[in-house]
Order: sequence, then C-alpha cells, then structure tokens
Amino acid sequence: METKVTTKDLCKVYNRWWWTVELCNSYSRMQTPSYCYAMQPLLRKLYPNDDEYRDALQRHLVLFNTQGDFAGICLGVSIAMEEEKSNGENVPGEAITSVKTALMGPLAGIGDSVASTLNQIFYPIAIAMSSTGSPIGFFFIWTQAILEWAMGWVFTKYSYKVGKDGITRLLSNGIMDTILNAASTLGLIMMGSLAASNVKLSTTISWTVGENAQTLQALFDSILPGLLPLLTIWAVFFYMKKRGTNVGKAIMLIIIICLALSFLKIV
Amino acid sequence: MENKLLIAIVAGLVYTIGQWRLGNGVFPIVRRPLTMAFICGLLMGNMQDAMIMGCYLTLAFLGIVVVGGNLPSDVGLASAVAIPVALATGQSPEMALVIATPFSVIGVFIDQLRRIINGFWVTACDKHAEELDHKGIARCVWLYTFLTNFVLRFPTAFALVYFGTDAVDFILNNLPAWVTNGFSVAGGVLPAFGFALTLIVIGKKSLYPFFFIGFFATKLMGLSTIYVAAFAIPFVIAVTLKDMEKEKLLLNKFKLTTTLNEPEDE
Repeated sequence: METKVTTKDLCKVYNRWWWTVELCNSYSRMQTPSYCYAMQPLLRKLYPNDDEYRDALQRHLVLFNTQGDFAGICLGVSIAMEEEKSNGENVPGEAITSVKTALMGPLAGIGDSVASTLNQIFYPIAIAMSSTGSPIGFFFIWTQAILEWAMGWVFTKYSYKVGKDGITRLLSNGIMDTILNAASTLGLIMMGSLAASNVKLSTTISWTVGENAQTLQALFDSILPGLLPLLTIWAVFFYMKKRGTNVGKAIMLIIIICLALSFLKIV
Repeated sequence: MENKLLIAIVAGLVYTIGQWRLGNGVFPIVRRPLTMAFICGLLMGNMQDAMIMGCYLTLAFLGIVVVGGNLPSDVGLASAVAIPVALATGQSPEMALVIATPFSVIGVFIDQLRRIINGFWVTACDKHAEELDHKGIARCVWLYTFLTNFVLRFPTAFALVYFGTDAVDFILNNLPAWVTNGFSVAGGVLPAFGFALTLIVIGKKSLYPFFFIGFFATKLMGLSTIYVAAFAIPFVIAVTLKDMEKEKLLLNKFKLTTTLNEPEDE
C-alpha cells in the first residue's frame, strides 16, 4: 500500500487539533469544527479531486465530542482510514464517520478520568510547592500540560500505525483499567493529604464544670484530630451525591449555614 | 491609579484567553487561580501573598471538572476577579474565596452564551466546507471564537476589577463582626467541595479508604503533601505491578492447563 502520510503530517493534524479543540465548542455540535480544521490540510493532500475533498471535509463536520488528548486516537484512526480510501481501497465514507463516532464515547469516559486524575496528582504537588508563597508551583504545573500534549501525540502516532482493529483490541484488554485504578489510588491519597491541611473547621462552644472551662473542640481533638473537617467533606459528598453537583447552589448554602452558625456563636 | 487600570486590563485578558480555551492542556492552567496569582504577584509586587491566595483558591476549585463540556462553575472569572480585588484590599485567602464564589456562578451564564454563539460559526463552517474555503474554516475556529470571547469576557472582568475593588473594600469594612467571622469560617469549609467532588468523580467506592490514608498521614503524622507523595508513588506502583503479575500468572496457568489438556483430547 502506498503511504502518503508522513510523521510531519500527523504532527500537523494533531497540533491543529490540540490547540483548537475547545475554541469553537458549541451546544449544537461540540468540538466538531476543530476536527474538520485539523484534518483539512491532510485531506487536501490525500484528495486532489475537489469533489472527493469536499466529501471528506463534510464527513468531518459530523458531530464529534470527546476528551481532547484521547481524541488523538480518533485522529490516528481517521487518518489511517482516509489514507486507505484515497488509495482506492473500498472504505465507505460512512465507515470513517461511524468508527470515529463509536470510539468517542468510550474515549471520553477514559479520557475524563485520566485528565481529572492528573489534576489530582499534579495540583497537590504544585500547591505544596507554592503554599508558603513561592512561585515555583506555577512553573511546575506546566509539566502537566506538556505531559498531556505528549500523551495525545503518542496516541495519534500509535493509532495511525495500528489502525482501527489495533485500537479496538487495546481498549478491550483491560490494561487501561489497571492503570486508571493505580492513578486514582494515588490521586486519592494526595487529595486526602491536601484535605487534612486545607479544610478548616473548629467550634468555639465551651462550658464550665466547677472551675474548669472546657471547650467542645478539645473534646473533639481528643477523640480524633480533624474530625470536623472530615465530617464536613463527607457531608458535602453525600449532599452532592443526592442533589447533584450544582456547585454554585451548594456553595451559597455553605456560606449561609456558616453565617448562621457564626451568628449563634457556635463557630 | 495607573496600576489599577493595568491590573483590570490584565484581568480581562487572562479571563478572555483562559476561557477562550486555547490548547487542551494549556487553558485549564491559564484559567486557574495559580496563573492570575503569579501575574498579580509580579504586577503588584506581592508574590508571597498572591501565591498563598492562588493556592488556596486553586484547591477550592480543584474538584471541578468539565463533564460533557458544561462548566459547573466558572473558575476563570472567579480567579481573574477575586485575586486582584482581594490582594488590593488586603483580604485573607479565605475571604478571597468568598469574593470568588458569586463570580464563579455568574461566569456560567457567560459560558452558556458563548456556546450558543459558537453555534453560528459551526453553521458557517458547513458553508465554507461546501465552497472548499479552508481559510473560512480557520477564521471560524480562531478569529470569530476569539472575538466572541473577547466581547463577552473582557468587559466583564475589567469592570468588576476596576470598579469592584472600592466596593468590596467598603462593604467588607462595614460588616458586623459575626458576618466577617461567618465568611472566614465559610472560607475554611469551602475547600471541602473540591474534595467531595473529586470523590464523586472517581466514583470507585473500593478506593475511598486511600483518601483516609492520605488524610491521616498529614493530620496525625504531620507529613507534608510532598512527603506523602514520596511514599504513595512507590506504594501504588508496587501494588499495580503485583496486580498485573497476578493477572499474568493466571493467564500463564490457563495456557498451561489448556496445553496439558490438549493431548488428552486427542
């Protein structure tokens, strides 16, 4: 088979995608325009014929939405299929669209978990570096952006190489799950540590027994330090689990409760 | 006074660029409070307070992920406005979070508007594709989306910083003590949201105990987050490798039994 796609072409498509993916996100077609924009120079190269080129452009204006880095997998597969098609092999246009559409759901699921897990690992370290006022955490956090770019680039190259069958095999063999579990575990330990030093709540309730003044907080501390912050986190957890993650509303509620508790001189 | 104008302009630009969403791994950093804190630290000559505030706000908004592209709250507007305003009025990081909160809610509406307007550019893309006008597609993706964002976001952040500083200063200095106390208590509680959201997003109940390990390592043993990472990373790698080994062993065993069984079948 004739290969027309060079590594440089792949990199160009991937870069065009990675930098623009969220720029034109709309309710009607999500990330679609960026996909078409990313593929455009390569499609021109593959299809010198104007009609075929037009079809190809329109093919990539069909609804697309997934996690930006993991979309590299869709790009790689799309490029491989477009190349086959332009070489005169029997690849119907609908097949290219439907493979892309079939991949985007599962990839969004994995991709969102990976991206938020990366946040849970990188941000705690950046915050720990900067929490005494040094700007070094701000520089450190850019390593996450570089890592995400590189991850997507590897996906693009790899999936172009193995094509759609290779990707289907990879997604079904369970190794992704193992890695994701490991990353989530690490993320949770880091978040726990961060929670311990950053969620603050103590009560000012006190009473006198005979001549000794006692505070409720001292009692809590003798049971378990950090009891109130821990309870708060889990209370918020169960509230949002039940009522949905409408952060704005929940935050307003917290502020009102805190004001009321302060008025009653409990905190 | 000159400084105030400059900072208001910078706030407008950081908000515009951060929420224009350039570069899949780049915009989440630009719109988060660390960036605005760093810039304000440079411009206002108060790096230490700025970064402490930036860390605190980052943490509070950390759990917020974009699921399906819908912003549950706009961390971009919150950080672009709250950090310069709180620094200029000498507020605590906890108070900065209280100032940030309403803006994070207002910003959601701006983002909804942006995504509705972007719908027009998609329709335009269809037309450009029909006419094979690749420059038109590029214009839709880059230029028109930038202009949309600039018009929606720049004036919002600019005005809030430029006119909001004095208002915030006046309001916060004239509040009764119990209100100020209530706000600063809320500032200590609000980071709980980031953590609760993270737990919800991870969604694997069997992993929740690890959260407690991290919590008590810091609370009871006094280890800093970086020290915790130093122990946690090798631990997680060891456990994962062991898991993989176990799976592989099972696989090998399975292969062994099948090869052993084959001659019997014959």
